[in-house]
Amino acid sequence: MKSTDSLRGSERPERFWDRDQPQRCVGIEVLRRGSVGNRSLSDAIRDLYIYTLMDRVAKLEDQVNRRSVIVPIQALEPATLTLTQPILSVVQEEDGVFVASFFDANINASGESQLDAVEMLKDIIVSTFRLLTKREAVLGEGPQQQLAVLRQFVRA
Amino acid sequence: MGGNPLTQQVAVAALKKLDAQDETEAGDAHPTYAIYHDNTLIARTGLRRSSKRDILVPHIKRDLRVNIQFVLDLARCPKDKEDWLRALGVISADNEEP
Repeated sequence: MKSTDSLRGSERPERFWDRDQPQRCVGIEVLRRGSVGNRSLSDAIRDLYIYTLMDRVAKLEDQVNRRSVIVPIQALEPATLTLTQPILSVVQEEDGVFVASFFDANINASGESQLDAVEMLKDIIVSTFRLLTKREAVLGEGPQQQLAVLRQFVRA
Repeated sequence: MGGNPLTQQVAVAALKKLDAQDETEAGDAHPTYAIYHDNTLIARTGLRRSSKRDILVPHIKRDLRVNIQFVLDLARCPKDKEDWLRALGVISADNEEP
């Protein structure tokens, strides 16, 4: 890929593709006029592809840096509660501790390690299911939704 | 600890401000708390079983459906249960049921 620096001139934009300033992009001009300087439409498409890949890599790097992992929960204890389908918990680091979340039911737990957080989440899912079932007659809107989601995954 | 101030001590203070009831059952691995308003269960949360007051429990903000600052304000006095109920839309700005 030719350096975008080579495009700089008195009437040329600074970047070939720039998400933040699309009006200044050579790429847009190429699409509009067929070419700009030595930049052809194929250059524009190739560079758009590369910038798209760079954007996706940046997002992946951000995810890795936040150490977010998905941990499937296959079983609960005690065995009197059965999972009808696996629960996908998301574990994220927050300032040195880990938070495991069952997002659909808004049930969350913290732990010193990913394992601690997931183990606590499993316990909290059980205690939450019991509590919401026991108090079903007096559930507010949020807990009603939690119980509805839990019942899609948990059977007593 | 970084910038995360949501310790067990802060969480307990915030839950106390919300008049949370201990709903832990025998055999539960972690204490469970429930918050009621007009005999309706509004939210529940669980804490870590530990004697250390400075362990971090950042998950509580998600359980209470507010941000870190709101939990801190509950624990350190500027906000109270009515503020929390308003933030969740359980009561309206003039304290009437929506």
